[in-house]
Amino acid sequence: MTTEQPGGDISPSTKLELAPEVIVKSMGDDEGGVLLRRDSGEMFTANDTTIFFLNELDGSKQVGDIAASMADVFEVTTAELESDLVELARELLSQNLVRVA
Amino acid sequence: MATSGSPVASTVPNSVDPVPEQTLHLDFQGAGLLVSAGDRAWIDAIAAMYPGFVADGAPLLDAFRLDIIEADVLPPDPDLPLTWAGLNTSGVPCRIFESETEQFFVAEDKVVKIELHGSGAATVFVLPEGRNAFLSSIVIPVVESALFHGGQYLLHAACLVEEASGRAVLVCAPSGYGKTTTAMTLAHEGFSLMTDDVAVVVPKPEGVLAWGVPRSLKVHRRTAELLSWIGPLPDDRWDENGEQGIALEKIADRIGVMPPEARPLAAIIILGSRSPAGHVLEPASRPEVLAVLAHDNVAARAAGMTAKALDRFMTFADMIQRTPAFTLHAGEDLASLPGMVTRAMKDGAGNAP
Repeated sequence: MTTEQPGGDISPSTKLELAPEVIVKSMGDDEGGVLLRRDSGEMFTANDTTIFFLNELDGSKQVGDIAASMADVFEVTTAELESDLVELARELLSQNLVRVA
Repeated sequence: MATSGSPVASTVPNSVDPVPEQTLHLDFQGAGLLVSAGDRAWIDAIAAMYPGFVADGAPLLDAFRLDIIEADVLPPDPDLPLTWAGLNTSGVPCRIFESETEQFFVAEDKVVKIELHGSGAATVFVLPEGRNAFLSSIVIPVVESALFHGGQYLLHAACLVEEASGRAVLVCAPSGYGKTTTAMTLAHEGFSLMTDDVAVVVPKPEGVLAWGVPRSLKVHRRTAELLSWIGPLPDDRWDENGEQGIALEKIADRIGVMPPEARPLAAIIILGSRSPAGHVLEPASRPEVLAVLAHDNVAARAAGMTAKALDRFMTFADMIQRTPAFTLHAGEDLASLPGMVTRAMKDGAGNAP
């Protein structure tokens, strides 16, 4: 995957928000959810971690801060989660599902 | 009647002798549709499509209204985004102009349906030669609007009721994936069939209800081969698609059939590919079930999803969250399938909340 994304590369200090046309629908605890693009009807299924992360994106939190808050919930180290979330954010950005705030 | 200029203005009759209005009341399990037309033939044609839903007496409170106006000229295309154009499922060329608030639906350049979303009403203008286009392309969208207005949602699925518990099960898949074969297999033992293709879901605070719009079964030649107990069919002529239609009443001696009645929804089954060995009926991922249902049932037009489409998406999401869902890979021994589905419904297994 390229790291040359709109808004620059993602780092733990990046602040993200959902793309305005994207809706996140959780399907319940441990069930994951669906991302829906209203402009195209395109759908993406997502696991719990992704849904949790997306629901935390409000344009004001850094990716690293979100990793710290999620570490307890998912019982992994903050460093490990931070690395995973940066990768996830790049993937989401490449699909135009999120944008840099 | 000449129609030009704004669609709304064109609805005003230009005759000094008003034509007596003919009306029809339909009751779709609590969702009403009140049809008005100047010619009784329109009323009779719609009543013939939905004979089990014709209601006597006063229309239901807050029924959706359909006014049919015979016109010599159709209203011109509106200044709205063209969101879809192509052949519909009946092979009729259609185009849709749509905004968040209004839909302008043209079928074969012979019929126009204008509907303001949320108004609870639609007006149809139809040319003298537009009867077939109206019946094949306009009536079902109007019924869908009437259901939506009454808090009910059409779903492309077979709907059956387990006779022992009285609870409903939906069998979902795109056309050609085996809904009819699966539905007839279940209806042969332990289940009663309401529909093999057109289901309706009714979300309620206490749970989701489901029922089916009856229609003739479209039995494929391959289905008749797989289900040898069917025996000779009433009309032994296959069409160009290898199918023949069978009225439900003509096969009710071989499968369980029941009239439409909203029942508690106990399970959703998504049909997957056939299994080379035994049946596989496994819990389904809720997000994947939603993706399958939305792909087959929620319109996403070039200009994006309307508020109505988003409402459908969210309703199906809530239904899936509240209902055990399974993926079925049917094997060869179809006779054992009803028992397997019954056990799954009884256990509430899989992803039950």
